Amino acid sequence: MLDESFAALSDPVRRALIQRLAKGEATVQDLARPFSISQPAISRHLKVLEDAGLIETRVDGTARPRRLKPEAVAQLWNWLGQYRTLWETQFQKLDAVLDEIADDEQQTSHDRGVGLP
Amino acid sequence: MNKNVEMPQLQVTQDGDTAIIVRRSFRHPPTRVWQAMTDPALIPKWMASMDTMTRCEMDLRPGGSFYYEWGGSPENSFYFSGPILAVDAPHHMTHVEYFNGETVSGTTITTDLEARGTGTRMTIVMRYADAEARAEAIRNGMTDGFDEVYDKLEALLTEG
Repeated sequence: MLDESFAALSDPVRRALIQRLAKGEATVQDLARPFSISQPAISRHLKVLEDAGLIETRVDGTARPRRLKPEAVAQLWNWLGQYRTLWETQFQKLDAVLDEIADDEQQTSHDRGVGLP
Repeated sequence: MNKNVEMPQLQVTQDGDTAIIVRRSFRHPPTRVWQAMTDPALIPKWMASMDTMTRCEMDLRPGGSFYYEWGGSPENSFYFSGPILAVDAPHHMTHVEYFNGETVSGTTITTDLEARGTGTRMTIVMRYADAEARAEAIRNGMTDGFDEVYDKLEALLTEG
């Protein structure tokens, strides 16, 4: 499935479709709107993504909205490490706060006339 | 494919169907890390968001609670809140996190700080209500920085 997913994502239109679906499910019409290519062409791209296991079709009356599969989201996340980036940004700030606390502790020790270890 | 070259310290993994585990080391001892992670005067300095934290309350004891809010105006503000279940300073804490007061599907978060030499090894386990809730959390995280994601994907595909 991994190779298939990568192949599916090697196309910029399909990546843009995934990007749109990451914000929530959407119909083929919705998905086709920003593109200058035909709706059948979009449908073909969606089929590639669905065959690769990245998206699925939900049946809702006559509507057939597409959405990202949770497993696919999990996989994309593993590959791309995006979540890691968010966390690391946060923890680098925490590093800075820890350095500040340490400086304050040193300062307090000085004020009290206590020798540093 | 779990390439982690640019940030060797941080590990983020999925556990089972519903959990995310975050591990990282700090140069400072557990007492200091604990202080930075639990003092409401310090939390807003590092807890990342697009917006500035506008309210930060922490009643750190078993049976206590916390409240973190971001965003200035009522229409674009959001908050996380929930009960503190267990506290063993400066090594362990368990709390439940609810988004915007929605208490049906909380995330149970355990934080462990272990001394490693002169530093700290931190392990955070976030257990979501179900697989869909975890996917949603990841999706939100991904949506925030999609350009970056696709730059990385381009790089990976070029390598391959």
